[in-house]
Amino acid sequence: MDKTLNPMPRPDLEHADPYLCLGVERDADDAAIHAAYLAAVRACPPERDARRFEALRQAYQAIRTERLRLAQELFDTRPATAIDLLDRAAPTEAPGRPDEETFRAVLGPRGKR
Amino acid sequence: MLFFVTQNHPGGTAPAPSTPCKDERSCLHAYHAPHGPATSGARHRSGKQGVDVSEQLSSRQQQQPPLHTAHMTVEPYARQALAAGRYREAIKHYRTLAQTEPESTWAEGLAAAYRGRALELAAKGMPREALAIWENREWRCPGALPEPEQIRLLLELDEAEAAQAAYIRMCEAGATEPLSRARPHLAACYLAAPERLAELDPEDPVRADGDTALAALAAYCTGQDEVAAQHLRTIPYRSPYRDFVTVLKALMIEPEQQLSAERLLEGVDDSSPFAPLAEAARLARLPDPELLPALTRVDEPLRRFATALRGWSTQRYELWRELFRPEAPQPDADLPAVLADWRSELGEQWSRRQRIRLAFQEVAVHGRALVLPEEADEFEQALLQAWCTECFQADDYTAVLAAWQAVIAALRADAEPVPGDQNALRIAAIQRRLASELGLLHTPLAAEAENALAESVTLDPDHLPGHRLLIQRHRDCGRIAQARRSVDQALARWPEDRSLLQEALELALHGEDFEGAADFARRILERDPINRRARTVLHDALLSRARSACAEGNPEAAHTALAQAETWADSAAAQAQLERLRTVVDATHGSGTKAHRWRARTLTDGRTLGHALALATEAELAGQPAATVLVQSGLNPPKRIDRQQLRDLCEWIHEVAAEAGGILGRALGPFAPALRRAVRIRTLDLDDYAAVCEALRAAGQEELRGRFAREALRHRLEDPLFTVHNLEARYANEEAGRPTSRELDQLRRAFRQARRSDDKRTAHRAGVLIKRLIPDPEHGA
Repeated sequence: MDKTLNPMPRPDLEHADPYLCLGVERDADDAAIHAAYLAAVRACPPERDARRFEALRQAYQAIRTERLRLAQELFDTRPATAIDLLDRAAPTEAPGRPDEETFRAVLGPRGKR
Repeated sequence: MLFFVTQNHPGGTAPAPSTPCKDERSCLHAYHAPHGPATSGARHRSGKQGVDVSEQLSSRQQQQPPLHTAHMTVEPYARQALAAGRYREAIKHYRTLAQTEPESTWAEGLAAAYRGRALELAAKGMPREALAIWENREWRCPGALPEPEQIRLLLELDEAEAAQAAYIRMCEAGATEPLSRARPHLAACYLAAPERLAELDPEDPVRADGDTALAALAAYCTGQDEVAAQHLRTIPYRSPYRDFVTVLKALMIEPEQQLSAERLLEGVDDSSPFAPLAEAARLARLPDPELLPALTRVDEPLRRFATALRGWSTQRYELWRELFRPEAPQPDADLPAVLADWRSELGEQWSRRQRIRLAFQEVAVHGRALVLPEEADEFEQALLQAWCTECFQADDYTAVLAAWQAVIAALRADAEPVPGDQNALRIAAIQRRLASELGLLHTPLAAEAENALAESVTLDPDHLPGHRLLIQRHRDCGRIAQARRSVDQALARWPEDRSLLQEALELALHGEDFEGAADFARRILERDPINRRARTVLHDALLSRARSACAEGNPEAAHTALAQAETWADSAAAQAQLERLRTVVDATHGSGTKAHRWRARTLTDGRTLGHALALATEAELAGQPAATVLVQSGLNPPKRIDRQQLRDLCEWIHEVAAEAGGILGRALGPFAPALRRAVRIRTLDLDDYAAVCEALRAAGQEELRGRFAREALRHRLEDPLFTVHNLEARYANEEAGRPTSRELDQLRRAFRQARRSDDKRTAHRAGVLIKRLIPDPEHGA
């Protein structure tokens, strides 16, 4: 079993949509965006996850004012990534717990897994 | 009865039986049948009577013993095959042996061979085939006990009843070590389906601790962490549920204490039946960009488990499956189709905009033909076209301009935008982009870009950078009046903006509006008292004005400008410069008495010669002859100077060289006689000569520099530094002719010597000079 799983980052799996990266609505105003940015940076300071912090910073720089938001809409040609789609259609909720059935499925015979 | 011959030992003295190798012993250790006389006898007999011929046979012979002697020599082959891990061969040989003697005699070896083969097949990912081998083992070696690996395989293949039966046999035999290895697998099975292991002894640890583990699991799943922890505490350390306890503890740790959880999970071995739980827990802690692809590499129950821990909804999981298609042979999802299918969840407009971006990516990245999405409206189609034009026709400015104008037209289609509304801001953003980022201002389409820029300011009047862009454009084109109008417009909106005030100050100075400029400078300093730029710009401009007035023979205007400049002089250096210019004006257009005041001031610090040079420079800047000004102000340089005065003068030359430029040569004119005589000052050392040469080099006084360099070379022959100074001075310009071969040799020696003594600066200079003086042989010189 590979405990390292997948340590290599994939740019195509980062947020391309700055709104989703910061977790704000598309009609959010400057203050809401600023507040969301500060909260996100507080939750994920650069020393904890430099890559995520940089993504947050870039997202904030892209939409922090109304003019920048309009420019982003006009000139940013990057399409949404898988993570954008997932966060847009069905955002992650608070960490949950598997039910007993899910536990049993993992521990069950290989044929059933 | 197996008959072992001793053909190789006619005397009947058999060699000592070869000791079974370590591997063989390890293969045999799992045999747990009671050692009956037959079995032990067989082993004794084979060791005593058998001949180990393996060492005398080739590898081919080892694999295929001669048939006619098989009954005599098979056993060594069987043992050797078993030890070498050739289990199929070992099984064959032991079965041959079993045909000649009761099977029980060879059961130990046969069981070990079957075991090895079963493990081999399981490791190759052939569990069904491995199970068949285990079954054969049971059938052929009735005395052999089941193995933990066999139980694990049975459970993996959903043969819980057979596993239970095998486990019960192990318990009856009292095989402690294999039991401890088998129990965790049964424990995992008990947690998954307790009813399937109902025949186990209630006192058995699998059942006894299993009920507590199930209770802990139920408590955890319902969020009762305290109850779960209580149950876990009652499970003993050596319980088969130990890894389960570890995983459950890790799962109950808060996400903030990730390190503790990871440390706990590391304690679960990969071979543990609870390892999948640990892996799922680790997966759930990955950041999204790593989690999404990692989920494709695990099976469905693990994915469900990890995503449940992560808080994924069913909808998110289903969308992930569509995007990553874990079971599909072609992993790339059809994103446009996914966007279309999920548009109600993604939002109609967002989904549409993303499909346009995807359409552009298809063209720009994958090189496919442009396909306009059917549902795209006029604006979106124009936007997509503009992106494609920018991407593929970036050099065709006309096409780029036309494409973006089409976007603007689409934005204007419904209604003419009102300055400040969203469409107006969009149009202004496009227009600014055309002018700045796409660089149309520097193309033949500059006029169109400039019009667009001007319109952008009208449409988006609250955007300061747009105003700045327009002001800069007017300034670059020399349209000062238009620039000032634009600055005034901008200042009306942002009266406090210091950069705009600075712009207005500089524009006022450009138009020689010193009053207006002073007003702007005051406004800047009110808001930013330590701003030096405003003071310096105004001070310099007024000095320039005074110099011009002096050159035009208008001392009153010069004095007026100097009086105004005095207000803005913020340092002793600026004040001194002002005084020098005042002395120049007095010396050339006023009285000598006033001019002498500067001399009196310079005498106080004892650096008269330096001040004289600064004054001479100022005089030349004001268009006045330096010699006249020096005479009028009583600072005419002496005919002879001493060593200290020479060093002092050199320091001043360096100070004024940067701002005086070409004027310095003329300013040094009155000092030339003294400098020529200074060559022969006896107290000068080599450092003095070097300092003087450098100063004269900075002032462009090549003739004097050559003199000093040659004099230094008289003191130290072939010194690389002075050789370079001498030849640089001699061949400073093209008219100096070509160097002699002797001079070139000197220069090469200087270069080598400087490199040897690590004088990189001189070596570099010598190298540059050599390159300049020796013509390129390729050009025929």
